[in-house]
Amino acid sequence: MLELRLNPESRPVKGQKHPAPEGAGNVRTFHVYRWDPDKGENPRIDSYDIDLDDCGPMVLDAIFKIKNEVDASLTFRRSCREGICGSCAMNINGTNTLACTKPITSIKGDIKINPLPHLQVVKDLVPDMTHFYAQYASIKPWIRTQSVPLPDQERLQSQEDREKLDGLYECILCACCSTSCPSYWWNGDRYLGPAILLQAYRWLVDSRDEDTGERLDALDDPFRLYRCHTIMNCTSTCPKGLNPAKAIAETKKMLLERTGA
Amino acid sequence: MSTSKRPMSPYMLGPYYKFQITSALSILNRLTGVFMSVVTAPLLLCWLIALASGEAAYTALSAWLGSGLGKLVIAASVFSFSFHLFGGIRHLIWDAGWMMEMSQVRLSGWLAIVATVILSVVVIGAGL
Repeated sequence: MLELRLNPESRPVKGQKHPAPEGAGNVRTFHVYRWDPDKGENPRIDSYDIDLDDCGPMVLDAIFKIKNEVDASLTFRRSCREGICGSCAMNINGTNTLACTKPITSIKGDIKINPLPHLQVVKDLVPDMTHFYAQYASIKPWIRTQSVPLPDQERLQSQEDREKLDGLYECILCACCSTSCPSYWWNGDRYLGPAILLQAYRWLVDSRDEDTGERLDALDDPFRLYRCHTIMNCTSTCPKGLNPAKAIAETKKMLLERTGA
Repeated sequence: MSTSKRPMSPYMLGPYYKFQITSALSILNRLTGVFMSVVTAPLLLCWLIALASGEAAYTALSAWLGSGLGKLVIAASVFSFSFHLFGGIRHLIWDAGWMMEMSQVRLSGWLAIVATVILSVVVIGAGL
């Protein structure tokens, strides 16, 4: 449903200010979204002045510094710190990206950190991804075959066919793209969104998969696929440099070609 | 377990999600389409009805179209038509799977803006 404003309980209010320690030289201000499920209050934006001379280079380093030195209750997801796990996806200065691969120096002025947009917040920067993962499961993201496998051989793939998966297999399902998409904000209950559709296309073009027809049947739906209006926020924001919008366009083409048009 | 209802994370274009050429032109394509459906097309229909209804009606409508507000509506219609035309061409190209790298998307976006301004100025200029 088209909602242009947050409901009153979700609107962030001004929070606490944490100044930098005495003698800090290279200070930058981080405005971080905070929400505590145990307090029953509105979310708030806390400000932290961080000395960049005493901090690692990435936004995630600054978040760690806040947790370690200022407020241990700050809650966020992270794991690999090198852009391969997708855990630390968040909204940094108005676009979604991975905090671990976003250099602080690439941002001018204050740094605003919010959870991924239009999701239920579990705590602070941790959104509820249940629906996103359920949508991923709905496309059956594994190889589906009709033929009986040979007893002494794997299902082989030519180098050429393998190359068709380049730009698709690298997706880490961080959800930056899906939560950047206005169409996904307003129709995410039924629209699969760019991340899941890129994954669906990854199986459509896999030469070893034998369920292409059924996969296309499942996508041929006014909401699941066709709520994509080629806004292109997804491709613009992907921290891995992938192109979900193109994968969706190719999927639409496959459906059109199937009709014999 | 959480004790209070979970808030929705902020999302709005502008204050929380940065407006970019991608979303800005997409929403402008929508708005120009809506404007033509709600204002331009009915106006053209009125113009035809006035033409069929006789001289008095036609003269009255022509006079309104010549007024300041009338001219503004015509100018907005020309702009909407121009932008929607070039926006539509971009969508046709994308539907073929072409020009979908971000550099090409930005380039075609700026080309659409420039082409819209040129076409609008030429058409409005010709009508003055």
